[in-house]
Amino acid sequence: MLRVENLSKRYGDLRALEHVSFQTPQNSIAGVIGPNGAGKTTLLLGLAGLLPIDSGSIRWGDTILSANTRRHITFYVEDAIRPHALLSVESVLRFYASVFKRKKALFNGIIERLALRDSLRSRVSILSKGTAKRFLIAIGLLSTQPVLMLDEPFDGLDLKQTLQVIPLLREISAAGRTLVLSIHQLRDAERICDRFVLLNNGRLAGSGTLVELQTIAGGAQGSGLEEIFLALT
Amino acid sequence: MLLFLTGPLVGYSFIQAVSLYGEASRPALVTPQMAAGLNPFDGVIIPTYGSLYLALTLLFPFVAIRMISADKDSGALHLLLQTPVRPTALLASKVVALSFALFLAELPGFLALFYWRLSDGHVYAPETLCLLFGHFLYGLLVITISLFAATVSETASTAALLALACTLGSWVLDFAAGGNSWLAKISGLSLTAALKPFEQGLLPWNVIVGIVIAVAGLIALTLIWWHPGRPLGVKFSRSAAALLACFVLYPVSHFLTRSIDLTEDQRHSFSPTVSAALRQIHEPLRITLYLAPEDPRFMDFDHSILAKLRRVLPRTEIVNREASQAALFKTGEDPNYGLIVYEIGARRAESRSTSPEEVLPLLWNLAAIAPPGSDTEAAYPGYPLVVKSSGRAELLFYIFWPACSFAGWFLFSRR
Repeated sequence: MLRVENLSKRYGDLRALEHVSFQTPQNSIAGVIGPNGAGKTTLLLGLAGLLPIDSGSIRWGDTILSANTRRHITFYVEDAIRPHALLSVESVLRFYASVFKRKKALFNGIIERLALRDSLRSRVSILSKGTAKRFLIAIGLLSTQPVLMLDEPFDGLDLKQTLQVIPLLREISAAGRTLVLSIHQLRDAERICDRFVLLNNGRLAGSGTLVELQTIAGGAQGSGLEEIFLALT
Repeated sequence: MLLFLTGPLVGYSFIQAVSLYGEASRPALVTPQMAAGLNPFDGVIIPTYGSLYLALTLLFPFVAIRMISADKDSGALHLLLQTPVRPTALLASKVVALSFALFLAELPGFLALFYWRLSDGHVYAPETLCLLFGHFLYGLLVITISLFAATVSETASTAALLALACTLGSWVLDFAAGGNSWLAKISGLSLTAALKPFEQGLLPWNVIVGIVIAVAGLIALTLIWWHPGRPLGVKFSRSAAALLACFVLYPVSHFLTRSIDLTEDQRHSFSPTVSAALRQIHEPLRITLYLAPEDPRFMDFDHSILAKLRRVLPRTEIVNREASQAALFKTGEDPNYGLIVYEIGARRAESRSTSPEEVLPLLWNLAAIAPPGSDTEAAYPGYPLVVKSSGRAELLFYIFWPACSFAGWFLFSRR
């Protein structure tokens, strides 16, 4: 279980996160939902230990994760980055496979499932938006930390690619990893996530499964995430 | 780009130096007595490596800064810091990669040495290796300054400004060192001052240890500031601890007064017999001077006596009563001006001479030591050489090297 308790972060006068608390069980897929500026990226950077948080705690099971130990539990892949831009896709992926001691079969499996075979010799800098996104997801899948956090994993993917990636992420989750996905599109979030963390202006608007959120929002059974989000914010 | 530019830059310096050395050698080929003054290390190798020093100071920081800034800008830094590889190992790999880049940047210098040897030029390996080692240490300093600048700066351009402020700031310190102010003392910390002994063929332990401490301190600071997840307060407190450690360790280097004279003509040393005789002086030697630092007599005395004495008798106490005065205004108003007082225990002697031929007998007399016999070692012969210009060096450095650099870049960019 990943437990986040009272996480707060300020940038000067701006409150980016204010007492955000939620929990998500192992093997689940949690979606962090919110409009631009809601604090999604700040939350994930803080969880990954890549941004100092002002207060609050993060627990994995019974263990409190310090900033130094968080990298052993969480791995976060940001949106719209082009890491190691001058290198080929293959050399970058092989590097991450080797540092995470991933076997060749798994490496090849990820390449096949994400349809990256034809792009292996391309430089990262020249990849199309969709290919770059699949490349970033591949880096995330090569990591071994129990919690994988992806920022906008479907941004840039067409419908067909999105429908290919969703089952892959479900398999990863079923295999034992906890996924935390920051998703802009509520429709995509509904498709894949088991649980939701709704953020608005740095504050938690609600968290839980869709049914739990429907109850919190006081809406009718069967109302969608969009209605729930609008009702809670 | 760095490789593309260093070839012609080094080539120009080398071709000019060889030409001037040839001009100076012509009379020596006719009059062998003049040959002893012709040292290819000073005449050709140092000027050639002077241009590499410029490239290291002005261009290499950009290469080093890119190593960190590119990772920051592309998002690779966040990914790398989450891998099982420790940040120390990641930074070490970057320093190793940059050291290799440094080696590549120095290749035109090696090419110049090779060309000089092919032209029958003389290269004395120990002093040349000493210079190369000095350049390596200087390069390490530039690398670590640049890495730290890139770590604490938001953008690569800010980092470049910061790094160049450090490297070019050294030139300002060197300029200030010409005066007599407190800046002159600080100028001892300038990067150029660190390279100078190696350019003179000296291997000074205090400078080597000082550079190692500075490099280790800068690496520690880079590691502290590299991780974006560390709170600012932690970064400041750890930086203070690292700086404190450096300030505590740095003075230790001053106790390492020994240096090795690797020059072929042993210009920084007395002859072995004179050195052996001086080592028999067990009581502390105190020298009090009344000479302004700008006075040519002081420079002559410092070069021919003091620098050599410090190497043989590190405990020698040297006091200059005129250190804060300008020579220009010291024309005859002080009767003591120009005087040099030597004291060993209670014994005292005075002289106005700055020549070793007069000073050394005075010291033998003062220390009650028998004057040493004359040395049987062969005098430095000198290596005059006139290399006829055939255009091959121009072809090598102005055409071949840039073409190779361009081809290398083109092939890499197509991969």
